[in-house]
Amino acid sequence: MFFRSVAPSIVSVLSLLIAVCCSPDRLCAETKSWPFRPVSEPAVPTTARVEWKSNDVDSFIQEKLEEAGIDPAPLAGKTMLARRLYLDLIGLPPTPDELATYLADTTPGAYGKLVNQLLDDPRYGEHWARFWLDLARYADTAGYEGDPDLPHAWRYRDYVIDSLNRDKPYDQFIREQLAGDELIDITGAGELPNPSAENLVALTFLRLAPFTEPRGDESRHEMLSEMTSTVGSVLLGLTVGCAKCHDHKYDPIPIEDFYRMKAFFATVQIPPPLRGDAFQIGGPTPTAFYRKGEADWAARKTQELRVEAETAKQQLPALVQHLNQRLGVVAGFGIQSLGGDFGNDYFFDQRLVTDDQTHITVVNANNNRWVFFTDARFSTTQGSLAGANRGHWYSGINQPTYASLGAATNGHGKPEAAFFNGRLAHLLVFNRPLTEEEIKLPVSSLSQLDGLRLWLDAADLDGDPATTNSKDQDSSAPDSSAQDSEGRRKVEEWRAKVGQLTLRQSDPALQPALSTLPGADTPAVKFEDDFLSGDPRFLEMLKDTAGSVVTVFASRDQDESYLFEIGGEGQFIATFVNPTAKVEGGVEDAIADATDDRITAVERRKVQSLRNLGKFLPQQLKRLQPMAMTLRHSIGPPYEPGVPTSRVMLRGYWNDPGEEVEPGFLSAITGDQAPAPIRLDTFKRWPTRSRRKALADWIASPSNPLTARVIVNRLWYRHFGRGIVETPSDFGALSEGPSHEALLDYLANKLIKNQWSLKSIQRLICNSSTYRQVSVRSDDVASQRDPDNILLWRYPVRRLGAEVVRDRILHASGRLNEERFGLPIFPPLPDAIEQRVRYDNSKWATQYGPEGRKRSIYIYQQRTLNMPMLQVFDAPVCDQSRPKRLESTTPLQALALYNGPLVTAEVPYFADRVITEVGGEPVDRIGHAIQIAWCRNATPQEIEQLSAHYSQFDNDRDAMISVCRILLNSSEFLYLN
Amino acid sequence: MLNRRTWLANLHNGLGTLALADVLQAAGAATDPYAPKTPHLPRKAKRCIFLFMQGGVSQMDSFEFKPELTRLHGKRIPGSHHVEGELQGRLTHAHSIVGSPFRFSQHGQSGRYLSELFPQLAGHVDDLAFVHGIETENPNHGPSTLQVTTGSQFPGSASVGSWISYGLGTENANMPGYVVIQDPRGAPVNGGHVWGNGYLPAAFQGTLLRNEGSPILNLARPSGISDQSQRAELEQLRKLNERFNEQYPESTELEARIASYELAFRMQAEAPELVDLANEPEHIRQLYGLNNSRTAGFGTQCLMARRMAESGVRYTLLVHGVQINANSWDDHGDVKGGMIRHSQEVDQPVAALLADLKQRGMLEETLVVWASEMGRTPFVPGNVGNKPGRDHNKYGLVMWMAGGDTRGGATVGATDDFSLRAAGEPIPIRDVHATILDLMGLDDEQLRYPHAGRLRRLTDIGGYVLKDLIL
Repeated sequence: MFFRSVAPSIVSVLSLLIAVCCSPDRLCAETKSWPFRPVSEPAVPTTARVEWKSNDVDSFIQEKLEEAGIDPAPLAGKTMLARRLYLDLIGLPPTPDELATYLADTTPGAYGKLVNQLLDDPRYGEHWARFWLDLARYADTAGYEGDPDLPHAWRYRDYVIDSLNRDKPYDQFIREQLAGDELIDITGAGELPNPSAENLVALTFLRLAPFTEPRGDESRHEMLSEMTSTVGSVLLGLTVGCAKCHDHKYDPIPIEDFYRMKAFFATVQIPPPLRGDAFQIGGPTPTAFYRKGEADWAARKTQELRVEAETAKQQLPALVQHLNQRLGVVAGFGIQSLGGDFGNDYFFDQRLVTDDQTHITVVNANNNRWVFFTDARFSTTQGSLAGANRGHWYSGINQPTYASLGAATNGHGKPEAAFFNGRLAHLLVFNRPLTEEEIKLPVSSLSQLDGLRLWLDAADLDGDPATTNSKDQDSSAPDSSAQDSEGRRKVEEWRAKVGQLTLRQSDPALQPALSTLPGADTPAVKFEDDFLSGDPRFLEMLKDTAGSVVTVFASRDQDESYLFEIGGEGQFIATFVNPTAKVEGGVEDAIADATDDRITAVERRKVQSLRNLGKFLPQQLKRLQPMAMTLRHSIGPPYEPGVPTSRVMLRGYWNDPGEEVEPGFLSAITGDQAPAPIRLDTFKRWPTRSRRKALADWIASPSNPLTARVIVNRLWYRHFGRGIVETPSDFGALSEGPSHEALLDYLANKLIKNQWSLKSIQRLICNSSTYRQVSVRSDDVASQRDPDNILLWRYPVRRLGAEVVRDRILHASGRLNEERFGLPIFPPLPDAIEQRVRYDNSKWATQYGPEGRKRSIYIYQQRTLNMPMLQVFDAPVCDQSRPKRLESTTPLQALALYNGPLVTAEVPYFADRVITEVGGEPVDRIGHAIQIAWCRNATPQEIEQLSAHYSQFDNDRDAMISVCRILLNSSEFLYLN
Repeated sequence: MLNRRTWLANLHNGLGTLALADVLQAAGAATDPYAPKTPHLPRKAKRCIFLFMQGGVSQMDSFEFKPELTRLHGKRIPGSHHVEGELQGRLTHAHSIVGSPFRFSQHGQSGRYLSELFPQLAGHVDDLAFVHGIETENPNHGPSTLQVTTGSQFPGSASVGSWISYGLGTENANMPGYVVIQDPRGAPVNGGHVWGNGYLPAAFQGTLLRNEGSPILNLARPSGISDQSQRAELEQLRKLNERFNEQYPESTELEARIASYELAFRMQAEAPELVDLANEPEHIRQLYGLNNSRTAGFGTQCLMARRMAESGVRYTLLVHGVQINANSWDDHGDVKGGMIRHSQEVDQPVAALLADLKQRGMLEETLVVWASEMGRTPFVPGNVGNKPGRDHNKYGLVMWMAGGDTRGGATVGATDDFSLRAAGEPIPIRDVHATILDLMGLDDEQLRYPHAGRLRRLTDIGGYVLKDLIL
């Protein structure tokens, strides 16, 4: 089967050759090939043009250029370099003032000072964290079914920003992320020590892969395999994951080595899910806020959000009612049915019912004829549902299997998320159709009529004391004293309420029992089996071809609703009041259709956001708890299974164990497959502890040939758009190898000597002449000999990353919110697309205010919803580690920038800002706008062109808006040069 | 049949523009991801319509006639005390076989059995080629949906449509090459991953067509901007960009950016017309069931797919069913009621799509694929009870194809008497993917893209083309 599937190819023949040449037992130090041989200490080459050189980096670059007979380029001007440094180091351009300040500094060290200043700028971490988060496959949701939220993942994002800003030594950065829980030794009684909060948050790294509800050994196998592959490619630059199923086809990584490395991770456990988690993907661990002021911030934010939640709760009903009244269309009092003989959705008599009066609907059936009444008014449609009724009184549902009160199930008996928060409801079932006179009777009299089979009074179902129904005259509700501070019904409380419901039957022997639906954690009423099927008289009632169902409502508030549903076999009939139901031409249509001008955009957004907030804010509050989505060490017997023996899993199958292996390092580097030395704790209580620490120490060691090379190459790649090794996560045989091998080793050495300071390498790079070259250069010799600019004979022009594009737009309009750290943000999305891909309201509640205008690094990373503005500019959904960003050019980018909501929203602010900041002459305004967008002075030609365009407009503001839109769409705005 | 080029030319009359492909080609073909490419193999199909049924279609109530289940209704699966693999835990516990409540009869020249749930599709049975006993690796909805739509159960891989648009480019440069129309009731499991470009360039991601308003995101001009003022602004933009580009004469990418704006605004003109079903005559609307509330949803999707195919969209993905609830094919309870409902929603629209493509002579050039993420079990845990349902079965997926060089009436693979597992060698999904690629003229061996140290392909380790399905 396996062999059948692997089609033969030249590649596999090639790999065979490689495998023979590089099999681990043949490796010894002197024969090890790049990249497995130790990092050398290359001598700095001597080159001809010493005056061009700024630091040693340049010598290595020049050496290669000289070999190719290419001259290096002249250095770019100050303005250009400032723009380049700002965008490259902090991801934002200099403001005209910042630029002026720099240009005014004519001291010789001005450039170097700017490099230092920007490396120390806290915005540096916000920009550079992106490269690590791409590698770490960071997201705020788990992906897969339901795409459940990882409420505390954002703390890892902040950890990365903070670590980079503090220039945390890279070796420590690695140790924390792989073994943050093992860095403190066990002392005293031998209990596992409490790791520092920071180290616990760091450990989130291992847990960021997409994850669905585990299915035993298979899921664990896949989870640990993913950790192994990711650690291998991110930290070692080797595609270790390729050896999961078979010996690596190109690199000397036998399958045993994959499982030896995987064995380091065998000790991790995901903390159990929290009570009430909808998806069982595992929970967080208590982890204090550790950054200075973070705990205070969290407390303050919690308080703010609580107030916001309370306010939203009060505002929504009033606003909807207000809009409803203004529109003169009102919602949702009616009857709905679906499936089988009942036909499809059918709504009946939609009008305002939140007038604090009692309303009834009556569904009368008489010999298969359906007649509807509401408040004793006949329906306009008579005789059928959806005009296709061949049905009978309830006989369309041959055997009703459930009835649900208070929660819609849409025909399948499982209550759905949208609750109907009924406040007062009576349900009366008669075994005969009611007469017109009877329908006009008050409810109290109705309930005394003959023929009543069942009277169900579901008072105050929502359990919210704030909406007790004591003032309703005809309520026979029991006293409701349950306290539920969040106003949410919990099942236990609801059960208690069910016990208080009044259920009356003409025959007391047929008293129905009430419960929740089996397996459903949500309130509903189910007639117990014996009531449904055990009693022939009740069955008969349900099958009657003549009868009547009366539902009675009285609601004061728009957000109160009521539903009674009975069904089976996928068919159902429901009677309900639901003020938020979608009604043709109603307020919901006006809200959904952005072009409907009966309500304003502000009102529309207000309703949407208030509605989302009900679920969204509790989720935000959850995120503010001092927790981390981290891992822990297995506790082991007797509390849980011990760490199992690690084995090779043949062909990568989770259930095909092969030989036993011990945790061990890659033999391609160590030269053998000996077990790794792992230091046991002195008390020998935790025999499997310190495995990950052993791995981390080995990776973060100066003698590891790959670690330093891989990270300096990643930095180089981000500074030049091209790595010294072009495949930053693969230094193996399939890479083309380094274009400047000596330079790579020089930088790797420097990193280690500089105590693994990443900023020290970046400082070196940015101060080099190589980095400072002009990007504009026509040189026939160079173009011919090195068309791809691999040797760096000019600074490479490239498109800015998606996040920088968004941040720049907000920066240009002056509306970027520079608040650092904190909760994920939820910026506006085009055409409310979040409505179509989300699974519950807790996910995305758009923030139209300043919060939604924080930098892109803070945007909620929902695996099933990549923000379109970023996605078109090649921001990935981080499911797998991403070593590189693609740089595509598509018409969808043009549409997003020209028509999209972000630019459309920001250009007026950009224009107003320009108008406010400079004088009244169009020429000055255009010049200033160009300074903001392009970080340079406009040329006379540009001024002339845009002034001519400007003059076509009747008023200055429109003209300026048009100019600003053009600038934000321009290539010069989008490219780093 | 309407000649596409003529049609396009007509469409653009008055705009006085070249095809964007030409513009981009002039700018340097290497930068145009959409440029049409020569297929590896001579195949008739030029485009593909992929019908994805979310939830797991019950194979023994639709396309697999298993009288043995009816005979053993209520009993255990024989020999089920000793089973291995994923079904083990479920089969060693108490369970009861559920016979199909539906009648099966033979149809067409091929004499294939179909259940009574697909009376209209039955009329096309001789055009369909079936694959039975397809196995996926994970019985959860999320992973298996990804495996069928992207080849891998883990998120982050490129979807089938992305591969095909990457391999073939686009026929109509004024529309995205890969369009997605999801169920009007909501998104499938995994959302956008189902049509994600994974590690392929973003240009090859599926473009979600919207049901209302402007069909493609950001297609409508911002309010207050007239066509005229837009043209004026774009003219200014072009001038500025050209001046910027003068500094970088070798950059084809910067040239492509200018071209991309021209394409974008042609898309703005074409796309709304393309999705406007008002132009469709009444008999076509009736054919697809647009006048019946039950079929209108998927009927609209199918009719839209035909229009996409007609305009040269390379790959159209239709999803029926949403996140796992009563509106998906995930009938854990009451499989009878559920299957009646789902099949009634799709039978007529799918049959209409086939008939309509055929009457326009387009079926020859259009590969139509029916898929779901998995099959279902022939048994229910415990007793049969009132309304038995069926659980997930990762061994029992059935797919069918039609059009292009598909051998109508062919069958590949089979399941055992219980629809429980493949009889004989199971067919991995990668074989089906290799077959789809082949039918689209693409060679699985050659269609590769470098990522994470490997030349990745849709089938990962390579799939075998199911040759019996191909003419």
